[in-house]
Amino acid sequence: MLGKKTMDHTAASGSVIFLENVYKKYGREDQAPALAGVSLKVRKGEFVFVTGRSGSGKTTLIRLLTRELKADQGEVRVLDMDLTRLRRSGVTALRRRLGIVFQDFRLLQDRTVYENVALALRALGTPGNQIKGRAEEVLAEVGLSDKKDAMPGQLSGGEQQKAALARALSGHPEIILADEPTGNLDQDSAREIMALLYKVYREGTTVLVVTHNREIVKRMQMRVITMEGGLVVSDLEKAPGGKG
Amino acid sequence: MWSATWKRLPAERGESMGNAVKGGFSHLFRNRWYSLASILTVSVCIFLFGMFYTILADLQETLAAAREEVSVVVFFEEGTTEEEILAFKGRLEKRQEVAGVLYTSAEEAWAGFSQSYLGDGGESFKTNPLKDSASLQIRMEDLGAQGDLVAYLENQSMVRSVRYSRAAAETLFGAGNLLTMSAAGVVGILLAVSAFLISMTITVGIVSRKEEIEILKYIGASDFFVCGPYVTEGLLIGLIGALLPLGAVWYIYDRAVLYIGQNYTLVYSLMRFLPAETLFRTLVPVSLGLGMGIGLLGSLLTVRKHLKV
Repeated sequence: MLGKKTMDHTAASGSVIFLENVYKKYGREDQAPALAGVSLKVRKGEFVFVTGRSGSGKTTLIRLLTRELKADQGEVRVLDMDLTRLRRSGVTALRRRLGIVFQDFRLLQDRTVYENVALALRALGTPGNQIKGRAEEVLAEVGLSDKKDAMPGQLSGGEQQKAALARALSGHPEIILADEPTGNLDQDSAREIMALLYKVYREGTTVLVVTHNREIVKRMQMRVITMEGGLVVSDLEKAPGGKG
Repeated sequence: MWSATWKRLPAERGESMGNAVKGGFSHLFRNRWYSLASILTVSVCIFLFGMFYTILADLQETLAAAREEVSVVVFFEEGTTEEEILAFKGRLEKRQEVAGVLYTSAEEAWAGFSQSYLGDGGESFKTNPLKDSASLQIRMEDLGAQGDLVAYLENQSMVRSVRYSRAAAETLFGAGNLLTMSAAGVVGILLAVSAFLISMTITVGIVSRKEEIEILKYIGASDFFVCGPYVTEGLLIGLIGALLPLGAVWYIYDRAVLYIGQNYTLVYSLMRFLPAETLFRTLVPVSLGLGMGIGLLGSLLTVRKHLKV
């Protein structure tokens, strides 16, 4: 099992992600806000794409959900935690419940694939005698058992993203947040990564993927939130024009 | 979820501690040239501190010995009884500026004088020629207060005369103050320089590991897990940097005292040199504490800035 459900921590609204009228602005007062009153809900166990052009506010949204940024106005709740009031120790607790996947993989280049996953497990406080077993288990599930001793530089882009996904899944996250996970990959690798994310979703983990890859969005036929100019301009239960 | 997080803490603390120690050694070797530069910097600072401390301790010992000799001597009016003098001695001993009072009776004064200057000839005296020479010798705790004490003594009706040296007291008092202030200044500068240089080394290490720190913070690593290796690295740099120069200070001090004794007998007779063992009983723990303290301070100040991800 890739992601494992432990407890039900949904908000009173039944959402694991809940944004209400959220504003976020960078820099000067006269500049347009990155988010200009975003409201959205993601229910437990959903698979959601967030799509839109560059500068539409997608990345700002992810950075708010990981509490890398704080909203200027509005309410942001993730797994029933109020991120506008969260202290530093709370941020650590929040991130332990999330699995974050980046476009550029963000693997430690001087450590093997196995060591990258094991380090994450150690950082999460996994007892020493359980690290090896869990790291090997999760690497097997993404299909990287035979590459566990390879350095990231020796892997293809798709394999590196699989390793990053294994790291994100190692701590049994309740939500996977993926920021352009296929942005640096060829089409075949992108499909493999999306298939793994779909498998995670099927096993009950909530998945939110920020992407501008329309082909994948159409093919997967999942809920699609489209952003433009810092606003949610559409929220469809299924992507239009898909194969159905 | 909070309860689940807290339940995990004891095991996590053990893991984090292990990570801190292992990571600290690993960082030390990974940045070996910067680590070496930092260790040498701390060594130079602790070496200078050690040399300065030994000189200062010897000068203070010399000053303390000189203070013993700079005392106030009080003589009493004819007819003052021994009981009155001893009662006055008791009152003086309670004063804050007084370190100690030594009573010399008229008989002791004569015995000492006749033994030193007359030998057996002293026995020919039928009565004590120094019968009104009982005295109190007062050692000062605070030489700066000598003037006030002398004024107090001169106002006492039983006191015939007070013997003291104002110049010696003022010189020794001034020298003591100058030494204390210079010591504080030099030690302060040395420590600040060391902490700054350790901070620079850790910064270099952190900049090269910035991505690792960011990734760890995104994963949900605690601040202790992230900081631990850097703090251990700082402590190790401070500890090794403090240990290395202590041997050098011991050797140089030992040789220097021997050299002065053989070649500068006048200086040797004026100065009081403490044994190296006595000096190092203080110097070793203070140096190790300083080394580790500046290592800890330098690393904590640096790593704190990089945790906000």
